[in-house]
Amino acid sequence: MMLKRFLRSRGMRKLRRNRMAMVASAVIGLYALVALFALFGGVSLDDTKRRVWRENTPGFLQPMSKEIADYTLDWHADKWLRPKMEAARRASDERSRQFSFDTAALGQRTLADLPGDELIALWDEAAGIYDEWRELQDTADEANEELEFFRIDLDAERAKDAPDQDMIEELEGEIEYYEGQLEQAARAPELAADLRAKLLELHPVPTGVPGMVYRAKLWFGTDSKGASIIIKGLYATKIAFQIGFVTAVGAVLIGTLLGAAAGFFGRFVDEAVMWIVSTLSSIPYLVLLAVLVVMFRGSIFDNEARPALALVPLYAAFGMTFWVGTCRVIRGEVMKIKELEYVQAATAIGFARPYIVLRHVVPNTVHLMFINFSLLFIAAIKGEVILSFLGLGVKGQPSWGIMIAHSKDQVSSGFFWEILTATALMFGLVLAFNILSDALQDAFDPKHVS
Amino acid sequence: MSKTNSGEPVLKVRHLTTRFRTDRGVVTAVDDVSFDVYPGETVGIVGESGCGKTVTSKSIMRLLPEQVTIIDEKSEIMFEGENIARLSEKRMREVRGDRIAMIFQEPMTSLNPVFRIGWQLDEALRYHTKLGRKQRRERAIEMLKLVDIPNPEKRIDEYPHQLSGGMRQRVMIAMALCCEPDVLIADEPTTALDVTIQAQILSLMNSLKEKLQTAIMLITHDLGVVAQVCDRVVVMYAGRVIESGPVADIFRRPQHPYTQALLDSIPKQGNKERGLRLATIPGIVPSLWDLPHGCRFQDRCKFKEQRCVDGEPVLEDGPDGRPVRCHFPLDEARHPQHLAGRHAEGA
Amino acid sequence: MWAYVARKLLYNIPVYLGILFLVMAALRVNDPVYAFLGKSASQDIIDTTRREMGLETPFLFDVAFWRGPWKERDVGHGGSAMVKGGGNGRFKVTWTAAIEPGEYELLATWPEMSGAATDAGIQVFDSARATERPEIDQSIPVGEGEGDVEVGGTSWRQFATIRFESRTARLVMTNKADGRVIADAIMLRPTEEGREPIVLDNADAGDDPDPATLGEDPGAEALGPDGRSFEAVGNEWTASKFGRSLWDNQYFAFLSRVFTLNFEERSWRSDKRPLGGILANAIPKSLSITVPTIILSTIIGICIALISAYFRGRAADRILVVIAVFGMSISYLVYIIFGQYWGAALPQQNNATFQPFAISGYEGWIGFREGGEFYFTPGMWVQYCLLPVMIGVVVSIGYDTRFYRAVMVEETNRDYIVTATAKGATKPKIMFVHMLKNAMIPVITRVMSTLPFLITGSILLEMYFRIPGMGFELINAINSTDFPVVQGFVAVLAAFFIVTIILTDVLYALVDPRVRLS
Repeated sequence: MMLKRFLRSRGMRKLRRNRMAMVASAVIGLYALVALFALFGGVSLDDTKRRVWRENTPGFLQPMSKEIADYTLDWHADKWLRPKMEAARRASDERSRQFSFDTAALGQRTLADLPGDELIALWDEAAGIYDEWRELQDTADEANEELEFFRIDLDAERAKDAPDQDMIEELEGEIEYYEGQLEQAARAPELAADLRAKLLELHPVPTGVPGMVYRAKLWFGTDSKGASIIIKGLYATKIAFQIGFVTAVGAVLIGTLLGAAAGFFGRFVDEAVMWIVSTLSSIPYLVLLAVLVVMFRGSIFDNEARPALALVPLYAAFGMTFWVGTCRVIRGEVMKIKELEYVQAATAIGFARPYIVLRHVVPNTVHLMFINFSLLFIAAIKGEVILSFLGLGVKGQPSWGIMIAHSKDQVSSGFFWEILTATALMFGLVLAFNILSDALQDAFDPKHVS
Repeated sequence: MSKTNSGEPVLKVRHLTTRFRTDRGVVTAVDDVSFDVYPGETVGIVGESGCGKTVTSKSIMRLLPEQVTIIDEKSEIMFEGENIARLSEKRMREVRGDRIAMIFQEPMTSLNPVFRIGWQLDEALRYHTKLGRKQRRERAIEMLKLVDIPNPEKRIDEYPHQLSGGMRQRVMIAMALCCEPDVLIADEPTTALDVTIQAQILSLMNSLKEKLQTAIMLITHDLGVVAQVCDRVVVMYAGRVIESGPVADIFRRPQHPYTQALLDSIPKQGNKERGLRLATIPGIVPSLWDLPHGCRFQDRCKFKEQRCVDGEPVLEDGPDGRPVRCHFPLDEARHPQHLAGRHAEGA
Repeated sequence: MWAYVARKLLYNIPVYLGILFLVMAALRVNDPVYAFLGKSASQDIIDTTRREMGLETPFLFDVAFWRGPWKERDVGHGGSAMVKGGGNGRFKVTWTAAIEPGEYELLATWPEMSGAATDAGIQVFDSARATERPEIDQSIPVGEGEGDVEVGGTSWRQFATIRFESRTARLVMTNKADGRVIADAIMLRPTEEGREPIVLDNADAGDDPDPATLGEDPGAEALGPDGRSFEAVGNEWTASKFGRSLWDNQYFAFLSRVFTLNFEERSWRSDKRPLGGILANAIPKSLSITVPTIILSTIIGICIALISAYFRGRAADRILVVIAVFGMSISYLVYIIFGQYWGAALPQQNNATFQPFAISGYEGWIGFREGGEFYFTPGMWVQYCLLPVMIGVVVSIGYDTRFYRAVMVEETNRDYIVTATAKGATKPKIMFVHMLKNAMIPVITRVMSTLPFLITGSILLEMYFRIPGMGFELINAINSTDFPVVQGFVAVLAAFFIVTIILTDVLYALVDPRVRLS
C-alpha cells in the first residue's frame, strides 16, 4: 500500500523518464541475479577455493609469451602432475591409486578416462619427454649465459692494441662449442609441443559444457593459489549483496523508526534519540566500526570455519553506525510533515498518535528511505573493503575487499588480474547505485545537497 | 496607438518568442509578443500564472538561464535604438541595472542575506557610475530616504534579515532606481506583501514615477493593482498577447472573452445583495506541451464555435478599435448588461 | 558568545560520557584479560595481570554482587551444599578448624552438578599465613576421579597435602572459577596414624574471614608464597564485597583520568609506553599527512566546483561530474595500492633515476635542536609524505567536488543571484563575491567535519604506508587488544570532535549574519 503510493508518485514518474537511472537499475538487477545465482548454489564456497590452473595465470586479454608458456608447461608436468602420478604408481591398492588420480583434477579438467595402468604409461612417456626438454632448456640457458660472457671477452680482446691471438682462438673455440649446444637446444620447442600434446592426452581439456565452464573459469586468470578469479568475483558479488542488503535494510529500518519517533513525539524521546545519535556520530566512523568488530572477538562469530556467522560482526557494526544518518534525515522530514495541515487535522480528529505516525507520517518518507537505502548500500560495500584490509572484515570466504586487500603482493609483482576483476565488479555496482541515488534525489528531493 | 503618450516609445518589443529546452522537448513559453512602453507611463502585463508574463520580463532583461533558453531570431527588443535581444553580454551588463532595472516578487529572498543593505545598494552604483565611495554612500542614503525608509543612516548598515518584507521591497526599489533607469520592470512587486503594505508600495512606485519620469512595466495577475496604477494594459494568455489597450477601455469594454472573464472574477462589493455569485473561469490554463489546435482559450470560452477550433485568430483591431486576438470579439451587443455598469464603477 | 560555548560544552558532557561508556563497554564484552593473555593463561598470571592493569575493579558495578550470595541446595554431605556461579572470586566460604600442628591431607566432597567448575580453588591458610591454593576439577564427580577414596560411606577427593604449624587451619573457597563452585564438605586427614580426621560441613563454614579473630598463633607473622597475609587477603575480600563505593570502578577511574588530563596510563604491549608519549609521537605524523591533504583537496575541490557551476549543463561540467562519480565508485584501497605501485614500487623495481618517494615508512621532517630551535628537512616530507598526500587528495577531490558543485549549483538558483545579475554584475563577480560568501556555510560544515580526521589520520594510508601516526597506532592497538591505547585515543578524538562542533557554530555566526549564537 505504502509502496504502491510511492510507485505512483510524481517523483517515480520523473525517475522512470531518467534513462541513466533506468540503465543503472537494470545493472543492479543484473548483479542481483548473479548474487541470487550464487546464493542458490550456483557458485559454492568450495568452488572459490578449488585450484583450476597454476598460480597467478593472466586472463584472456594478455597474450602468453614464450617464457610464460614454458613456465606453465613446466608447472603442469613437473609441479602438478608428477607428484600425483608418482603417488599413484606407488599406491598399494586400487582405491588409493584412484584417489591419487582424482587429486590431479583441476576443476572440471580431470585425467583421461583410461585404465590406471595406461594413465601411468602415458605419464611415463610424458615424463621422458619432459626430462629431455628440461635438459635442453638448461643447456640452452647455460649456453646463452656463457656465450654472452665469451663474446664480451672476445670483443674486449679484439679491441686491445695488441690482441693475444691464442686467446682469441681459444675464445672462438668456446663460442663455437656453445653455439653448437644452442643448435641442439633449438629442438626444445618441438619437444615442448610433444610434451603439450602428451599432457593433453593424459589430462585433456574437457569438451562440451564442462569444457566451457572450465575455460570460463580461466577468463580472468587465477589467484595466488591457482583458484579461478572470476568465480571468486562472482561469489564475492553475493557477499557484497548480503552485506549491503542486510545492513542497509537494518539501518534504514532502525533509522526510520527512531527518527520518526524522535521527530514526531519530540521532547524526551527526541532528546534520548538525539543523544544516542550524537554519541555514535562523535566517534570517527572507522574507529567505531573497529571497536564494534572487536566486541565480537573470541565469540562464535569470530570463526573462519563458519564464514556465514563471521559476517554477523560486520552486519552489526555497519547497522549500528549507519542508521544514524538516516535517523537525522527522517527526523528532520518528520518534523516538517508534522506541521502539515493533514497531520494536524488527523491529530485534531483524535487519531492515536502512533497510528498517525505509521499511517500518515512514515509513508511520506518512503522516498528518503529509498535514497538512504542506496547510499548505505554503497557505504557498506566500500566499508567492507576497508575493514577487510584492516583484518576486521570478512573471514573465511572471498569478498571484493579480501580480493583487493590480498592482491597487494601480486600488484607489486605486476599481476593485476585479481585486483582489477574485483575493482571492475565493484565499480559497476557502486556506480549504478551512485547514479540511481542521484536520480532518486533529483526526482524526489531536488533541493537536497549531498 | 497610445492615447496618453504620443512620443517615441522607450522600449519597443516586437515578435518576442522565447523557447525552453526541457526534458520533454522544446516548449514555447512566450509566443510572438509585441508591445511598447512609452516614457513616464506604466504598462501592466496581466495574466494568470504560467501565461508567460515573467518570462517576457526576464527575456527583456536577458536573465533566463542561457543553456536552456532560445530567444527566437525574429524577436526584437528595441531600446535606445539597439536590439538588446542581440546585444553582447558585456554591453547588456551596462544596460542592466543602469538603463533598465528590475524588482522581483520575493523581497525576502531577492536580497543577498550575507551582505549589508548599504553594500548591495552600492553595488549598482559601483558598476555604472564613477562616484567615489563617500558619494555613493550619500547617494544610497538619499535613495533610502526617497523610498521612505525611516532612519536610513542606521538601516544602511543592517543586514536584510533585520528588515521586514515591506522594508525589503522598498530597499529593492531603491536599489533598482539608484541609477535612474529609463525603464523599471516590476515583476509582481506586491504579491508577497500584506495588503496595507501593498498599497504603500504601489503609491510609492506611482510617486517615484512622477518624480523620476521612469517608465514602469508592471507584471501582475491582480487587476485591482492594474486599475490603481497602470496607464495601459497588455493581457496575456498561454504565452500570447490576446488584448491590449488603455486601462479604462479594457475595464469598460473588454473585447476578449478571457479579459471579460478575468474582470468578472474580481470580487465586488454588492454582488451578494444583487444575488450574483463570484464568477470563475472554468477549466485550467492549457499545458504548454499540448496546446489545443486553434484558439488557445477555446476550452474555457463560453462563445466557442467551430472556427475557434479550426484556426488560431490573429491579433487585429477589434470593434473597439483596440487589438484583440479573437474570432468573435465582444461588442456592445454581446456584453451582458450588468457588466457595463459594473466596470464603469470599477474603473 | 562565551556563554553559548559554555552551554554547548555542558550539553555535550552526556554525549562525551556516552562515547566513553560505549567504547569501554564494547571492549569489555569479552574479558579483556583473557583477550590479552589468551585462553590458556594460568590463573596466577591472570590475577597479577588483572591487578596490574587496574581491571580488578568492576567496569561499572559488580554484576555478580547483585545476583546474590551462595545458594543452599538440599543435596550432598550432611544433606546440604552451597553453590555459587563462577565469577571473579568475590564470594567465598571459609572453614576454620582447630587442629594439632602436623601434616594433613586435604579432601573434599561435593554432589554432582551440571556446569561445575574445572578449577574451583581453595586457598589454604595456616592460621594467618597463606600457603597454597590447590584447584579441584569439580566437573568430574567425586568417586570417578583418580585417587578418590571412600571414607565412612562418602567418596572424597584428595587435593592437597599441607603441613600446618599453627593450631588453626582456614580454608577459603571462592567463586573465582570457570563454572559453578560447590562448597559441601572438607576433610582434614592427618597423615600420622591414629589421629581422627576432621570433617567440616558447609554448615560449619562462615561467610567471611574476620581479621580480628586472627593472629593468636605464633605462626601469624609468617607470610604466604604471594607475600600476603590472611589479614591482607581477608581485608581485600571484605573490601571487595562491602567496602567498594559506587565510584570505585573502571569507568569512573577512566573518567577521572580523562578529566584530569592524566595520560600516564601505560600501553599493555611489551614496551609499556605511557599514553601521553604515544599521542605526542603519533599526532604530528598524522598531521603531516592530513593537513596538506585537507587544505589541497578543499581548495582544488572548490575551484573545480566553481568551474563546474560556471559551465553548468555544458560539456565541461558534465565531464567533471562524470569523472567525480566514476572516481567515487572505486575503492579507496585501489587508489592506494596502485598509487604506491606506480609512485614508488615500480620506479624502484626499474631502478629509475627519478625515485622521489619511499615505498613506506616515515622520517621526521621537523626536528628540535637544543635551546628550542627547530629545523625542517622538507626532503624527508617529500620522500615519505607527499605520495600519501597526493593519493589522499585524488580520492577526496571526487567527493569534495561533487559536494561543492551541488552547493554552488544550489546557490546559482537563488533569487539574489538574479538580483545581482539585474544590477549588472559580471559573472565572476557573482560567483566569487555573491555566491562564495553564501556558500561558506556548507563549505565550513564540510571542512569542519573533516577536522577530526586531522588527528585520526587517514587510517588506510597510514596502515598501507606504515606511517606510525594515530590511525596506525589505533588499528595496531585494536589488533593487539591494547585497550588503554584504544580508550585513550577515543577519548582524545571524541573531545576533539566536540570542540570542532562548537567551533563550527561559532564560525557560522562569524560568516552568516543571520546566525545568532543563542
